[in-house]
Amino acid sequence: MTELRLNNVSLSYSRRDGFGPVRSTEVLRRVSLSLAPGEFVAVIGRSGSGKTSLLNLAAGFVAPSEGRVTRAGEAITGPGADRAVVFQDDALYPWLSARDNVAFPLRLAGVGRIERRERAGELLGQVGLANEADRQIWELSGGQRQRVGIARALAARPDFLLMDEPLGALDAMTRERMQELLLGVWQVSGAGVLLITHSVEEALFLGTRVVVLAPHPGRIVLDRRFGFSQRFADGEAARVLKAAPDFIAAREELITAIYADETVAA
Amino acid sequence: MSAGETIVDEASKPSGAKRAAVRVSPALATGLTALVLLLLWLAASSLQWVSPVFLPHPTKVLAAVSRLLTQGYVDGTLWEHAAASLSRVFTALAFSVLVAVPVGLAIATSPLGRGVLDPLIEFIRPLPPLAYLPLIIIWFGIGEPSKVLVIALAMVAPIAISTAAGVRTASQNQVNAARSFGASRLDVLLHVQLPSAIPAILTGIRIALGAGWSTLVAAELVAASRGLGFMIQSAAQFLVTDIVIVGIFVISALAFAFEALLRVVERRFVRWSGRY
Ligand SMILES: Nc1ncnc2c1ncn2[C@@H]1O[C@H](COP(=O)(O)OP(=O)(O)OP(=O)(O)O)[C@@H](O)[C@H]1O
Ligand SMILES: [Mg+2]
Repeated sequence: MTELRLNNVSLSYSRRDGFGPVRSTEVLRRVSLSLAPGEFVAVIGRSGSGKTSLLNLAAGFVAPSEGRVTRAGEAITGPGADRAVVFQDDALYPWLSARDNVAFPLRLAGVGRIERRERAGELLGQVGLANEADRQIWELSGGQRQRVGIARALAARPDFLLMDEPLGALDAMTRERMQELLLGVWQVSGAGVLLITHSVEEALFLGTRVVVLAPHPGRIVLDRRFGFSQRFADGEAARVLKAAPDFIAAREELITAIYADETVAA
Repeated sequence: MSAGETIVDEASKPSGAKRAAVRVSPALATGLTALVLLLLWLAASSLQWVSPVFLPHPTKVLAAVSRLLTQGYVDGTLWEHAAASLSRVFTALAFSVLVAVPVGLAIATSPLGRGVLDPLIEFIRPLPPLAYLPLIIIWFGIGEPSKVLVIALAMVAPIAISTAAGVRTASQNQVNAARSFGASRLDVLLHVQLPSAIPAILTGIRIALGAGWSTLVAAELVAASRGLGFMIQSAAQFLVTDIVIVGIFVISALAFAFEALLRVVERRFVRWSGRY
């Protein structure tokens, strides 16, 4: 049982406007979610529904107000190299080249300079940036930066890869290619992936499980297994798959779940 | 190219040409300003608008330069005075960087550090060097260490404050990224927060050097036997205005040269600053 688990987790932020009273906002309420190695969980939900907060809990950046976050049954008290994160903004280090950004986790792990630069080069090749390895970060496009971020997270050889909208900034064409790349990367690494996305199609195409978060406060309203990524791995073409009747039916069902409380909220 | 673009092109031409005619490059403007000031100076002293005691003729100042280079003034050539001042300013800079960068890091990253050090920095920051100079002489004597210390004290605050501000330019996610790759607090400090702060530290050093040069003259009030500040003061006592003017120009030129050097360093080594 090495799975990463959120057990009945709630998260509240307290804030105070000027000299007013301290207010507490509940961002997540009694969320339970597990992520096993080799699994690909896609989390989807409207803006502000608590997706990033959920990832921050799993990563150990914030502690839950209630409930427990555990890894293999043991409580998680902070971030660790077993759970690497790809951030919504790329959070790269602009004073380092693309290669040195990717080599950064290896440097922390004490890998020698020559070896880590070589491995960073390989990882950049995996995300299609072999020719950009020695560029500076500010010389790269938004999509290229996100790929450096993914390669950097992979360098840590994590058991879990936590990704916050890594493809959010990409155009539709690049995005489709990157989705396939993510699937490839996931299969090679064998890591458990938690992917946050705004795109229903992406969630369905990539996730072995899709989780829908509803806002105010954030809670899970749907958690279901899907087999589309397996069918892609078995050789079905991406475009054909995404146009298949059962894919479209699942997509409509997810959209309904995401906007279920829209009328209530409005 | 479409017809529409051609029309736009031609329409914009006349106004573009008109603007180009009035436009003056900054370098040219600088040169012209210098020339005008020099001519004014020449006129003022040639036509005796002011007494030569107050404003010596430019040629007299040039003569003073060559005299300073060969014979020297008050026991030292211009080189020796400049070298003495430079070594004071840069010894002080080295000390204050060694102290102020860690202080700035501590202020930005630790509540204890902020509690202890921030008030101290805020305490010395507004003090004029001439105010604490006497106390430093009483405590440390009139030797070289006192002079360096006075200059260094004036440099510590700007560097520490810039460093602390620079550390805060590292985003929460950049810090969290490192932590999720297994970085310790020290790793985060050395590999994320310190590099993020480098541009701000360089800016702090530029401000500090400005403060350092202004403190120099005060520091050399005290029993110095070499130094540009000392040279200026000795000359001023005997109304040797040409030497005073040479001293002022040399300090200004040195400060300018190091400012330019730091800008080059900035452009070469922190090219990422402001581009990401
Ligand atoms: N540090 C914080 N302090 C206070 N409130 C916060 C904080 N971070 C997030 N929130 C609030 O928590 C809620 C959920 O935010 P979160 O960032 O998790 O949403 P999200 O689903 O990731 O949204 P998006 O899709 O726009 O990225 C929002 O209402 C937000 O205002
Ligand atoms: Mg988010």
